[in-house]
Amino acid sequence: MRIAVTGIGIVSALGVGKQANQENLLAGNSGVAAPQILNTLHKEWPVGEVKLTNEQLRQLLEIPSVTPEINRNVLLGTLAAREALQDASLSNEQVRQLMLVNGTTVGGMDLTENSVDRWFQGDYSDINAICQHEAGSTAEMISTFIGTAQNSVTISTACSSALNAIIFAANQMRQGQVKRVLAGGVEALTRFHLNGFGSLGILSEKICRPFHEDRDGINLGEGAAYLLLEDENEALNRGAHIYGYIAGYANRCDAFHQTASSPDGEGAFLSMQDALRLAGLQPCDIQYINAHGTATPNNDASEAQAIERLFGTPFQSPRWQEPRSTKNLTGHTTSASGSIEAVFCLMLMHARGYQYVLTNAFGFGGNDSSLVLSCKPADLPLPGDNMDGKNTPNENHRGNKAISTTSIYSVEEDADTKPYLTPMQARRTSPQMRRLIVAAKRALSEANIDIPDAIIVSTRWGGITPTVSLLKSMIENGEEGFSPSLFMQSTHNTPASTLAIVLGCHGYNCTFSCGNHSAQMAQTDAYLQLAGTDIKNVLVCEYEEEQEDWQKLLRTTKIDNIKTAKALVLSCN
Amino acid sequence: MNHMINKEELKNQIILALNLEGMQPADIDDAAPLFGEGLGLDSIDALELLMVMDKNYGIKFANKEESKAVLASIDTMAEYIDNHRTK
Repeated sequence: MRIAVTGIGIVSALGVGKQANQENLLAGNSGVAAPQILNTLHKEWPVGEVKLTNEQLRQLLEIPSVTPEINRNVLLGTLAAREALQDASLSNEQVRQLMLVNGTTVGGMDLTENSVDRWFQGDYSDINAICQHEAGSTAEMISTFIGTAQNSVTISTACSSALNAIIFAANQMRQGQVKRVLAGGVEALTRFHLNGFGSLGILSEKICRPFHEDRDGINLGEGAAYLLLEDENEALNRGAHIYGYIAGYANRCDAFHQTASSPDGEGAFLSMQDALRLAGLQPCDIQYINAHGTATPNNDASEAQAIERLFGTPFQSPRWQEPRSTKNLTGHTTSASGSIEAVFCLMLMHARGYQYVLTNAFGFGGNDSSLVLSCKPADLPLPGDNMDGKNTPNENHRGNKAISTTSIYSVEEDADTKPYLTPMQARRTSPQMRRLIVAAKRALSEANIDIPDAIIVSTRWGGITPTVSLLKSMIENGEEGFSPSLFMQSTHNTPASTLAIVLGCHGYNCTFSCGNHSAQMAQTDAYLQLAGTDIKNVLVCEYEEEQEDWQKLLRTTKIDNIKTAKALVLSCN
Repeated sequence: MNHMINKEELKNQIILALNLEGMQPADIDDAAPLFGEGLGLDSIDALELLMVMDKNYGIKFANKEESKAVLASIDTMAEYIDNHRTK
């Protein structure tokens, strides 16, 4: 089957809309500068801001100012999503039937960090803003603004979120579940994650220099981009303009460290290799690589090593054309980078006449994703096709796998987790995280599996305990003294990446944070993985922490939060 | 000059800051490397230790190489604290 891209929408430091972004991308103009919109003391850290205030964004979107406050993530996301739909010329009914798959991490953090001191003092009058904190609420609100009636899906794997949203959407389409999906991601700058990255000591005080010998760190950025993915037959039937095709993709896990990449870039190597494999391409077919290239000494060394291992030529050699990474133009747009840079790849592809382009997005915990885009029609194997020799479908196996649940484990409150983890392994885990590790190990042992083929986790709030600790630290000390350990535990995909590191699992790794249907989406994805790839089993987990101050806030809303650490293993024959 | 730092107290501060639950001061050798081969700490732990130095002893480092040498072991940390503490 073929998945065409028939609409794109984008907003970044390079401007609002595809025209401004394309002009500045091709001219190499950087949008990175000292913070003007974000209310931060850290003027020494340049950022890639969308140079519009929230009020200006509302005016652009024609949202009446009498409506309740809307977080910046929703405003940026709606702007890009609307452009993609207009670009694709879909009818209102086609939009109504459309599913949005969104990647994000910060959710409504910009509102939270401005109001949380009042909330923790017992002022619960901001219920609207409290509800917006949840990462999954961003996609729900964007869906409402753009007029889709379907449940949205939110994937939260830190900086690879948007690329994983595209991958999940493509997997659903490959298996005939849907004909059209709007997929991408959004991330707005907040003091929370600027200080978080600052605490890791990886922010540069200059415009960043990806892959440069003297590179000294990241510039953070913000923005959003969405791609309308459409079954080629549907696109041709309605005479849609086709920008390009999804030719291949993969997500694999470095399983090395929560924030650092391994020296040999194993996760990146595997994700690029398996994306090429799904595309039925050889390394020599790829004409351009858009690297993750954050400009930290560690990421760029590790990624360049992985590229050299797979492609046989150093990434600095003339084989690879500039710019190699666009982080110096937009800043690192974290959860949105995967879709923003996929749009850039389509633009470069047309401007330079490339046929195949590969783009990478890597997240905390070594969550490494790669996507191959093609300007010409590209066939994706259907489930059951021979992966190495596509276009030779084996009808006997297609979609014919029997999938069974081998084992389920929840771990009781007083379980002794010590035998399962050394003090060094346990030092960055909450008690609840340790219970999840025990549940996972017991479920795997019951299923006679040492290392699962994939790990999929559902969690609405992710690391809410470290998040609240950091918010309290901001209330007490402002933008000083952020703990790097707490920041790296605060992302939604901490449970999934911790499991991958403890278990040594380099396979597919994904986290769903979409309200009360998070667990259902994790299971859906597990079935997609088992039916659509050659893996034999998936570890599926549900994770929720209980944080006292947060529970108090949630009691004022209608949102449930039930403490959970549950693991189950799904296997197929 | 301030009185000499108690190494056991320093180790307790490190155990607390790094959340090394179940570990005792006696488990950390005064002379052994804290990073790599020894205790096995990593770059994030180093950032946490710099926060301990700042918060508890008023010591800030301008240069990464210097801080690396100071954080090598309990002995090197204690010696530096004795000579440079401002609180």
